[in-house]
Amino acid sequence: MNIYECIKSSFFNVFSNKMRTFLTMLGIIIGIASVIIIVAIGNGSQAAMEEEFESFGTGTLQVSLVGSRDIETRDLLTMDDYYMLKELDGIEYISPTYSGSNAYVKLLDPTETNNANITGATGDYKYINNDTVLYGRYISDNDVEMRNNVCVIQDTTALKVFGYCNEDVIGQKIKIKSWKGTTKLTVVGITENTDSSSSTYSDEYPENIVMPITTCMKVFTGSNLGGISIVLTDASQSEVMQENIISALEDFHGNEDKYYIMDTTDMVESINSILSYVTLFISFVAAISLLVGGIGVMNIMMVTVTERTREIGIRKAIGAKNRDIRFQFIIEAIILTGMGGLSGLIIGYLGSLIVGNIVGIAPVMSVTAIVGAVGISMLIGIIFGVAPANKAALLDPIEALRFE
Amino acid sequence: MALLTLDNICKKYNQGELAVMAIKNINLTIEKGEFVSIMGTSGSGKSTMMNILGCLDRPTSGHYFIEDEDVAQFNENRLAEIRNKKIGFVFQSFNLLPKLSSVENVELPMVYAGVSRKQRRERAIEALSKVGLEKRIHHKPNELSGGQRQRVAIARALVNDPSILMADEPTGNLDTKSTYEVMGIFQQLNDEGVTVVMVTHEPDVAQFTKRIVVFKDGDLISDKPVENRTLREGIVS
Repeated sequence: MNIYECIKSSFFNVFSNKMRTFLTMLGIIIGIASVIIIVAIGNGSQAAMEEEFESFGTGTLQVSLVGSRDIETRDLLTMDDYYMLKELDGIEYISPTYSGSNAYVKLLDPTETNNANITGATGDYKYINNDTVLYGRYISDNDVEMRNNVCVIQDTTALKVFGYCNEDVIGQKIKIKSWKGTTKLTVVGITENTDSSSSTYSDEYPENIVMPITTCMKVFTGSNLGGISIVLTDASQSEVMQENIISALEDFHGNEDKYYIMDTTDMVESINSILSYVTLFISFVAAISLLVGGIGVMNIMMVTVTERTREIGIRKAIGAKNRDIRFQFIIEAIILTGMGGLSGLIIGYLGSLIVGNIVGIAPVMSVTAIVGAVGISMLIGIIFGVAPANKAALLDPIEALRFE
Repeated sequence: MALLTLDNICKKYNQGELAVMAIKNINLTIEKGEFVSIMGTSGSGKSTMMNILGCLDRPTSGHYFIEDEDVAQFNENRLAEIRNKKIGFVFQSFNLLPKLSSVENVELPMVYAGVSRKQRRERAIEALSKVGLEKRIHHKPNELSGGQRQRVAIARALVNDPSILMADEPTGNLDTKSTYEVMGIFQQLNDEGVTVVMVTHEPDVAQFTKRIVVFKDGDLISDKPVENRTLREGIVS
């Protein structure tokens, strides 16, 4: 019996009981679809994360206080630390940072506001954050010194606050509401929003606003910094420089083990490794559902073999060899799981678009995942088809013909 | 050389600790062109005989020659080949595949023989015409009468041009009219040179054949030519 005949007859058998075929495939469909969705979303968030940090600039050092309870007032980072560190050798760009949330920006419709991510910084932050100025200028050291009420906003914010984004926005004022009241800031520059995730244009997407660190401290709190961001002249010196910076700070404050430096390169790596562990774990759970689906296929194939005992007897009586029968049932199992895998792939693809839309991550489909999903499902067909096929192949023709 | 030669064939079944001899030291020769009935009560060993003759089962000891090949100890694959090429089966309960049409059922042995698609269809239609079913080739078994189903089964048995046609109680599920029809076809085929071996317990049916072999308790107790043979009255479709 040739392969073509065998596949034809297997398709015929698989489709002669559509409901059962569908229910059997369901396990595989769900398994493959969930693997596809998880991998696509996992890859998508990894890509989004990488892009986020790329815009922030890898090789950036973030100096901050360690998060422990025995922090005293004298340990806190201030502008003096910034001025002190600025004098160190090997530092290309340095900016104190203060991040304020719990602030709102008034939008075009004066009755509406939106969340604002406020960052207080100095002129160097432009290079640290890899910002591109579209119109106007970035905040300057003079702004910092004079505590000017100025700010730099993103093009997306300009559209939402003023309804347009061009030179005319420069010089206009935006209103920021915080727990300290409303502050008016003059827009001196517009930067490009490079965040490519789908949520950029949604209403919930926060407005990113950069203002002089000194102004920011005036608007929000007293004299303490959130941290200090540093870009090194030579990124390969990161470890030495981290030690230098920490010891300089400890000398300056007269304390020990209070400061902590995070290298964003390490951060990207550690976040990626966490993400891939999470993806791996969820994939493992999905793989279990695939295994259960495979067992379902085996179960149905076993039932099918029993039901078709007489047919097997007839086929053997008219000359089918054991291998013809075995082959036929394995092909049927592969058709079941293969079709399940393909359907799962399509559903998984659509599903990842939907899930990606909901969680705001652009799913990333990889050829490996697609080929792997279909390949694995067919492999499941072979693995779980062998036992039923062998059972069928080894039936005694006389017994099989007697079967009612 | 005889078509089939049984030389001292025994078949032993193990039922628990008890060994049962289903047939004992059978010697039998069937020549080309014969039409033989195997008769006997149930438990006489006639079904075992049929299974061994049809290569569905192997004897415990002895030699079984089909033409010049001793198939007694052939492995399963070689037996399957013999069944496919040299033996045509007709069963009491027809044993057609219910989801396939007449012509597809008849094509099945040729699928396993590796005959090309075009040739299969031609030969299947030819075989169906031979049994008077050329107008029913696309009917499913459940759209056919019992007699018609058995004729499809006969067409299937013939289609690979076997050396011998084995029929196991072929009229057991048929009414009198259909029985005459089917036996008539057997006679006609036999007249055309096909060797037929048929198991039956009905003496009336055995009267259509040329030679009756009787089994009792595993022994061959009688082997006689048929006198006053019933002859067919022409094929009724």
